[in-house]
Amino acid sequence: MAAPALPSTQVVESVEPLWGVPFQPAGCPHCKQVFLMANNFLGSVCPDCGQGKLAAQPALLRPEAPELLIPFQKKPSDVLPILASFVKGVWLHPDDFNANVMLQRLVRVYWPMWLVDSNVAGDWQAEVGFDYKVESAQESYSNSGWHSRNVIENRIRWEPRLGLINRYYDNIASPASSDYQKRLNQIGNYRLAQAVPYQSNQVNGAVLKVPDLQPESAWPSAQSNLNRIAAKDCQQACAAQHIRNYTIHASYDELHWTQLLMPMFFTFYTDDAGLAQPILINGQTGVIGGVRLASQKKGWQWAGISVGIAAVILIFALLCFALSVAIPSLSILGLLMAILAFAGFAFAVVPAVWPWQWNRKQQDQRIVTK
Amino acid sequence: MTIQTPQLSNWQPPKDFQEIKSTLPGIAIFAPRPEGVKAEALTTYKCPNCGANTRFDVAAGGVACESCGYIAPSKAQKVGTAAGELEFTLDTLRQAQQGWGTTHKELHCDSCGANLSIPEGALTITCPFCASNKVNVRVSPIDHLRPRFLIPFKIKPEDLRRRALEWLGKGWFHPKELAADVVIDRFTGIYLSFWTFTADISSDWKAEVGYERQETYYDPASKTHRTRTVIDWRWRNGRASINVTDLLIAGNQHVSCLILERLYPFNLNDLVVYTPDFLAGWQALAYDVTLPDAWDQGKAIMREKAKKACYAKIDSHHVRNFSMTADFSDEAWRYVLLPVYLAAYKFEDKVFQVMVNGQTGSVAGQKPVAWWKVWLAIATLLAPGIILGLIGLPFLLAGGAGILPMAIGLILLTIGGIIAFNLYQQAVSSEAS
Repeated sequence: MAAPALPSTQVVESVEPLWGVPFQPAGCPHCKQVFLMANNFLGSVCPDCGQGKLAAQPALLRPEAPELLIPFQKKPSDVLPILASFVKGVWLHPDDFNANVMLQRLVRVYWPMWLVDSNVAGDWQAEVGFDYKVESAQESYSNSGWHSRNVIENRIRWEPRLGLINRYYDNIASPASSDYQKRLNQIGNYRLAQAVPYQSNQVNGAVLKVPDLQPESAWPSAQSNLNRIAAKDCQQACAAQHIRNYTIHASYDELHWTQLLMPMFFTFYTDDAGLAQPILINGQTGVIGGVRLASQKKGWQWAGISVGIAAVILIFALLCFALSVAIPSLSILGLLMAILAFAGFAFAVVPAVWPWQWNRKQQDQRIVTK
Repeated sequence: MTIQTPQLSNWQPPKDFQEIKSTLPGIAIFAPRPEGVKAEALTTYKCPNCGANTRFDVAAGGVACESCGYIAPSKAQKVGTAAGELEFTLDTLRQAQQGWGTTHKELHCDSCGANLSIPEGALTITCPFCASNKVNVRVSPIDHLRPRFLIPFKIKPEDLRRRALEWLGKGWFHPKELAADVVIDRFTGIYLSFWTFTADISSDWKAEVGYERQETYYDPASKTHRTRTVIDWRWRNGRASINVTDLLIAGNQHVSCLILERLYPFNLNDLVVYTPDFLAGWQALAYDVTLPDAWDQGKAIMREKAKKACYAKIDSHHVRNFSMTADFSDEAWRYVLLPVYLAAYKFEDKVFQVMVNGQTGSVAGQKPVAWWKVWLAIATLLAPGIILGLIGLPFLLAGGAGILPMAIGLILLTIGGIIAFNLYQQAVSSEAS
């Protein structure tokens, strides 16, 4: 089937009372993401990558206001314990990796999802599965003779089905950000059922991320979601419990695209190299995600201190050995101090190596920025 | 979400699909057309040429008209042991418990208009007024439990008398004049119901197994070292897996299972898909042993096979405290019709049954026994042992060498007794039904 006609976008150049709020379009020169926000956010850290500073720039977006919005269910005061427990697990963390510091940098961000309405009309075919139970036998033999027992097993009977579909689907969610899945991996899923109609007062003081996936790019994903929901409906229409090998040849008409805004808190801390490390918190569930780096610099400091103390003890130990010629009992003290000194040298390895090892484990969670 | 009716104009479902009920508006569903609806429709057989009654002819291999010679070859779809098997679903077992239920017992003959009474269990009927043959006079309450496969008759009715007389002439302990005097003039070809069962059985067993060992010991009485056999008992366990395929269980309790089992085996590779043509003019009996009852019988046979397989794994014949658990899996069943000829004959005012396997031609049944021959044979078998014993007894009492003939006599008596017992059992079972 040919791709359906997709809606056009418009360019917003400067402060405009867009969607009921005077939004300033701005972009991050580092990650190239575009945002809508109040004027006072200009020059602040990018609430997406944390690397660049936001600067005014035109935004390319659709004029219709978002249709739905999931309100923030976590207040900034709720975020402090979340951040505190996030910080708690890291030994030798950078000084900036501090719950109170990060709380002060907290920014409310709404990031978008497309809501697609479409009529799906066409033919489909699939294998649908019906649950059924079978009885299986288990026979036991002992000196008292045979004993029978029946075991019930659950099985699925697959049957071919095909047919026609002509249904209108409303508000099928599809990604509007290229990093949609990565974000969800970090801060978990949203409960979309709690979305409410968009109201401008709810986005006041927040930063709105502009979709970087326009409908043309988002359509394959939206189509796939429409087909998946159509498959579920076909399964339900067959009164089946399972469906597989579903194929559909359909036309998608009466397409309508709007946005759903999802709440997220953004904050950051700076690591040893002075780079900002973004921390994201799901504004609905409070799930936190981000890289928790240890400070290698602190590790070296601790290792140095440990080596220094051990060296001093070693000198004293040598001194004791020297004096033991005159006072033999000092040799025991010297031996003990020598052992202590070697333990100190050995301990110095731990703070030197631990941050490196910890940071390696964090690589998987690192937010990839452009 | 709004709903529109699907457009059917540009799209057609495949021919073997039909529309079924959809639980959601806006979605039309097509499913494969169920098979076998036609196979259960009441069919009356008439010749399309002359209008006379027709019946399945074994020699012609199709429905034939005796009046004008018209033959409609049967469209036998041979499936053999690949014939579809069904699972023991809870639904099927529940429905099968009811058997055929109380289906209609009267039929209106569409050929002559007479009202016919359907005999108990009959699947076919021949109208006594117009002689028209009807098939599927009884409808299964559930589709799963209608006959789906059968083996057609292969043995021609004209060969039956010869086969039966040959069978009657065999065996020395039957009356000599049996084959000459008996008249078997009427064989009835009938399709009997059978269940076939298949299962994989995996059995875990545990037992104390005894291993023989030679042991040397000192005998203080004889003041010598001697050897004796002792058994060391050890706990052993293991696993045995068997596959039982197409175990046959008779589905008609009023037909002698004893005789029927002697007709085995049926070659299930000849199974064909059920079509009413094969039953035209022949009798057919619906099952009266329900699926759960037949499966109980099948399971009992299968578990004994599994037990035997476990014993086969034990490397000693000394076994005690044996226990096992047999787990059945992939259990499946079929309901099939198999061909059998039934007949009865009279000998010395007694009635005896005889059956012929309609596929292989093997004959089994009841045969009268000339008991004087049996008793004479038993006496002959036991006599040497008894005589030797009697000869040895006076010598033994006299303190002579009577021990040897008595010992030989005892051995001969034991061997003779075993043979005599088997002979007696054979004779009894020959008359049994």
